[in-house]
Amino acid sequence: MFTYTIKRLLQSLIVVWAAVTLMFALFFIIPGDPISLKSGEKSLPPGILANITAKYGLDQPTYVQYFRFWGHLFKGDLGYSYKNDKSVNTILHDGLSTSARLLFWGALLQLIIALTVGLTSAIKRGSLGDRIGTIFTVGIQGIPVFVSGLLAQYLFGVLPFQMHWDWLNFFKPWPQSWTAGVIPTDSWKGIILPALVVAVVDAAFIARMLRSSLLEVLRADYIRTAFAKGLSARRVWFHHALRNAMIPVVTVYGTSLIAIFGVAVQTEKVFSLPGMGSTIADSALSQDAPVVLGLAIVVIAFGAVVNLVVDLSYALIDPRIKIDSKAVH
Amino acid sequence: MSEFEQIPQSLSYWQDVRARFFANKISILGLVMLVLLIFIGIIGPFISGWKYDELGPDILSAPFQKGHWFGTDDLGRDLFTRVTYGIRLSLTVAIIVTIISVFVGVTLGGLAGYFGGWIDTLISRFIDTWQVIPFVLIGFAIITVFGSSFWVIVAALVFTGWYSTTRLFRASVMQVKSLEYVEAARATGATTKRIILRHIGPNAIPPIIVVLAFSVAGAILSESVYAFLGVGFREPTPSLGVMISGSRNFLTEKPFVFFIPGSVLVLLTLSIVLIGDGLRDALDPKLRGVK
Amino acid sequence: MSQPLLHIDDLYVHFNTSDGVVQAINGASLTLNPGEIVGLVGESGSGKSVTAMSILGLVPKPPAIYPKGRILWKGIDLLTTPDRELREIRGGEISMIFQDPMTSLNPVYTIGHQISEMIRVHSRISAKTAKLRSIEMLDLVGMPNPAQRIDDYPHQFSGGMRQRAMIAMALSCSPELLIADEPTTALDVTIQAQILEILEKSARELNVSVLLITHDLGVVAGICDRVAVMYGGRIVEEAPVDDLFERPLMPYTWGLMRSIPQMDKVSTKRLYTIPGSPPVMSRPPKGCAFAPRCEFVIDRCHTEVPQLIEYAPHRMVRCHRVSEPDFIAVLA
Repeated sequence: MFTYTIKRLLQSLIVVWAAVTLMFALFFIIPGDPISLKSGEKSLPPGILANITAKYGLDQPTYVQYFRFWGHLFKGDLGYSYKNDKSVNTILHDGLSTSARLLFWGALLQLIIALTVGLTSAIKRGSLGDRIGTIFTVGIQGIPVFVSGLLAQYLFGVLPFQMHWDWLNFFKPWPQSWTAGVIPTDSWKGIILPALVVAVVDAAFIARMLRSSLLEVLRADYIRTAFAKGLSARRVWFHHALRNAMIPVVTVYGTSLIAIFGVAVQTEKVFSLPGMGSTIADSALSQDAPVVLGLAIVVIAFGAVVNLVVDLSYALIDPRIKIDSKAVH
Repeated sequence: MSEFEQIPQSLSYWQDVRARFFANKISILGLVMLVLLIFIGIIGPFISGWKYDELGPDILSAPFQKGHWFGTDDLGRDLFTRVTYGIRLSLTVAIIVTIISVFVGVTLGGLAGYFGGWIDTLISRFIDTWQVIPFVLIGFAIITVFGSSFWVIVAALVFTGWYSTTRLFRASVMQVKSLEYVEAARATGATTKRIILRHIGPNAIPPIIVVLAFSVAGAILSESVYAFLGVGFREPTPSLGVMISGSRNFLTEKPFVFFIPGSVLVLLTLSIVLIGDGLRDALDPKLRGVK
Repeated sequence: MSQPLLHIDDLYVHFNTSDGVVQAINGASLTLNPGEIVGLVGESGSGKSVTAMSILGLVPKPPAIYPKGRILWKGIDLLTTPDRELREIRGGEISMIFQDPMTSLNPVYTIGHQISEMIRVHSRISAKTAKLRSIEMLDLVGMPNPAQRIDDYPHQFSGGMRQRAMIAMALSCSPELLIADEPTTALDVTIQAQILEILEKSARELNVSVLLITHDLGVVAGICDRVAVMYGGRIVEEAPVDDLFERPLMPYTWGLMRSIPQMDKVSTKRLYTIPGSPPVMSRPPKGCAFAPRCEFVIDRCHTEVPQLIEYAPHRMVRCHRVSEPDFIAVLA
């Protein structure tokens, strides 16, 4: 297990390096135009122009820029925004607390919903609840997050407000007038709806995956053996079937944790949450490369950690993994 | 005895697939929905009497009033016309993206899966790297650098979609390659080209068909996400994502401005997802009976 | 003998499927006495596995239905026993091993865990004692280094070793009956003999009855005391093993025997095969299930199901023509 962990750790470091380099190449080999960003349409005197270029290090050859970039990165310095000279670290820090809260609750809710729905629909397969669950989980695949976000706002915000459904006045006190994204987001009540929106799409997918994986596992010979041993159905389900069924599900959950960033960006925009997602969207639109790159690095690092954790838990669940990785190649 | 002679006729694989697909009510529903939407997309602009960017006098007028079936948006543009153009745009972009992605996926995945070794390692590591970058970020990065023209958007969508087709085709080629009849073909001295074209190709096709459907749905979704976030198509292009993005401010007073493009987008992707589900079940008899 | 251990009495098992009702078992009866090793022989689809699985209530209902019959375990009908009590019997009094040792053990737990789990379900002992008992059992079935191997996962064992572990597990709670469903079919020929030997040795040593299900008459000849032949969901012949091989009474058994290659006889003739194919159990024949393939068929066979009759002491047979002396002579 130790060598396996080290090997995987090295692999993820390489992946992070490659992904960051890929991003760097995209942004700096084909440079944007930070100067016009600062000055708007006006043309600047040549002296000032040279100053600005030198300030961002853009007068250096690309490889020097690249090594400097890594040098700064190791010190935890992500550079400065082209637009307003603020440090990228500060900009990200401002957005991070909101985003982290949203992502944490989103990921947690996702896991809870996926496990509950997946398990119950597999156990009670063919029942009315299972059929409704299936229709729901299939249907939700076709709904983009920003649409479900707006829909959620309409159903749980606008509609109860307009219809005076006080029993649904979850977001009390009602705002004076309803425009999109004025749900108060400072309390947990404010975060729960966006977090549900973040959770629900992939939760549906994972639930479906868990259900079919469980149903497949339940037809396995070792499940029959477990019943023949005299174990209770509960024991067979939770001890013998679930662990095997989780093997493909863990992978999917990892993938969805990486994709959750994209989901969060949309959700933040729909609910006007001042998170990292909003920052990156604005920066991309204004071609503010250092901010986009800085955030990209944070997100890539997060993705690599998730992948690492998924791989390691995979090996913990399935003893065959370690041996196979040694035996093959 | 005569009753033993009625052994069911064995159908060919594709006849069997077709029979299974059409026996599935949900995939039929998806097919009907998609055909209807395409039909509206084709004839809509001809029968509406409006242009997609024509500014009319009636702003935010409700559906079925003043000659606008779906009403108008905040600039007085006919929503029906814009939605029908939106269907056209979504499908066109998605199909172009899918064709390119599948081409890339089949080539790279086929190479990696068939030859293995360092080619496989290289391609697989590249996919690993790519996978830790969330798709929205790829779009952001490309559009930050190149701006948002039609082909940049297509490229961004290909970059978000290529690796799943590659990974899938690689896995499927590797699986088929190790099957006994391919071993048998190799043992009889068939050439590499012949093995790929005659033996592996046709058997790796079913997963590709399924991926095709999901890739189209995925591209439609991604395109609308980019448009919604402002990094894809922009006004006045009639993309469904653009329309939904513009509707946010009217959610309280004129929700139909959101619900019309929103439900068209959902129906469009849903119909394709349902067809994809049906195809997957029909193409893989092993999964039959798994409910 | 006193009360039989197991008595299957006129059992019917049907399955509701989309292609109609499959009549897997149509009146099977079988008796097992303490300490006896009985073979249940038949082709795939004859209903032998369904019979075995029914004893432990392992056939999922639905789709299975039990329209008629009883399975009496020391006088208790297992078909109506509530699940809670059935669980005590499963593994505790009746245990079972399966065809494919590769897939019959849970890949994510160690062998030791899986054996100990079973022991601890049926007796209140500590994990430590259960582990010692597991090692003891593995030793009994001839597993080398049981104390170390107990912490290995199934994929670290060969097929033969896994089947040994299965047998060890099945015998770990001192059951009175072991059902072995094609225990050697998935194994290499060289391993098959070893496994059968271990099975017989351990069973005799611990005085466990065995119901050995197989399609292979050779397996039966080696270790069984008595054999029941199953065809089309019914027992068609039942006899002590030596009697059966010496003189089959039912044309199907006769056909089966002629289709075994004889090593000790030089033969220039082609090996015999039974013509036709097994009955489709969603549309079983009206009369004797074997009639469409039988060389000795008479009109009556097509219309009337023969009864299982006692031809001689301990010799049961289901055939319309057993009463004809000439016919029996032909089969011998």
